[in-house]
Amino acid sequence: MLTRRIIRLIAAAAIGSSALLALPSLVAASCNPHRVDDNNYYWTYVGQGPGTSVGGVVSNIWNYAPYVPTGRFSYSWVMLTLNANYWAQIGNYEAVQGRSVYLQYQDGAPPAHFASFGPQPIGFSTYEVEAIGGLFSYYDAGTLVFTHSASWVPRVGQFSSEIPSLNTQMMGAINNAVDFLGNKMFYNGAWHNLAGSLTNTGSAYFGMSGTATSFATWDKACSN
Amino acid sequence: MAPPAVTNEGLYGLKRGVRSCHTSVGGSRLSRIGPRRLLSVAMGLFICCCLVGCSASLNASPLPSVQGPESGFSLVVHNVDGPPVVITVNGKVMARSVCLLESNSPAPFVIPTNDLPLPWSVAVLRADGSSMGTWVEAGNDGPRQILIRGNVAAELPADQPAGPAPASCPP
Repeated sequence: MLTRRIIRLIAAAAIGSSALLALPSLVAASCNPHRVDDNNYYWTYVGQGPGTSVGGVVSNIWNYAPYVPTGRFSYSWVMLTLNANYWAQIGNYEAVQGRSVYLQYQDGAPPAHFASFGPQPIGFSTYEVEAIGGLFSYYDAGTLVFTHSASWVPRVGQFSSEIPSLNTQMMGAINNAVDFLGNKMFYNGAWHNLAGSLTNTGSAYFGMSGTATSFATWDKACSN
Repeated sequence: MAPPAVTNEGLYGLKRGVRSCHTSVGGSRLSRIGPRRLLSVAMGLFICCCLVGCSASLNASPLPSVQGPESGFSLVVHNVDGPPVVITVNGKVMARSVCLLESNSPAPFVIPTNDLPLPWSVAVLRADGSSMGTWVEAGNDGPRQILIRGNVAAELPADQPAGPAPASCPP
């Protein structure tokens, strides 16, 4: 009888603690994917080099709030780039300190430059980078938030979500994917729909669907 | 972030505690104690088992002891789209790394130990032995990374971004 009572007590404690652990995932979008910390970068992205200079990239991105452990980050962004040392991006950023709109750029050798602003609400907002006559302009929901001059000319546009380790949630979840809608690049004097294939560097862990102009990405370990 | 040092003193302390637990649960006493006492004994046994488990797991995989002043230092190698490389520290091969699109392995991550004290002379070498760069790590600047993009390796703070998504690995 005493044994049964002890078993009941242990069972009640176990059920209670698992209910408490489950509660945050019901009320918050983020979820811990419970994967190893492998220190590897992962991208779910579309990139296009139209064979000429590119003057702008724009996308309407679903702002999501993923799980991010200390020292890591998760983000969705649009980018103008020439190569690994020349790039300019803006997007939705999550770190353990909280979510924000951020921009980063690098004009040659590292380090990169970084700036952040208040977050856009959960939902869609537009992110845009333009490069006209050596002036790089960053737009957050249609508002110009930063400019700088640089001598390089972009030739590629990229639209991506990114994490620096498997222990971090990629933006989006199975039932709450991060959409990149209306993806366009400016070249040859006009805005064009983005073309290119969907590339997922961690397809075992992350989902990706749609077309270059309208695609969705998510973390397969998370339902919401 | 480097893991905390594990001292032998702490482990011995745990073992002493476990030993005293065992001596207090003599088999002959069990028949003379009541249900409430039995419940207390059961809980005591449970705690002892937990302690034994902790002690055993710490003994089974001892963490490297990290030097005090430089304990925030670590070095990770991000080979995003570079050639296969070998990373040496003070002349010893510490890791090999290939373009991450062709790798299922964690990125090489190294911290100082008693066997590998700072300062470090770090080199990144291609398969043909040619150098992509050498650096001296004193360990005073927090976590660091070597970021390999294409044919260029750069030594940077660990929180610096990797830049554009890689299109492919080098041929």
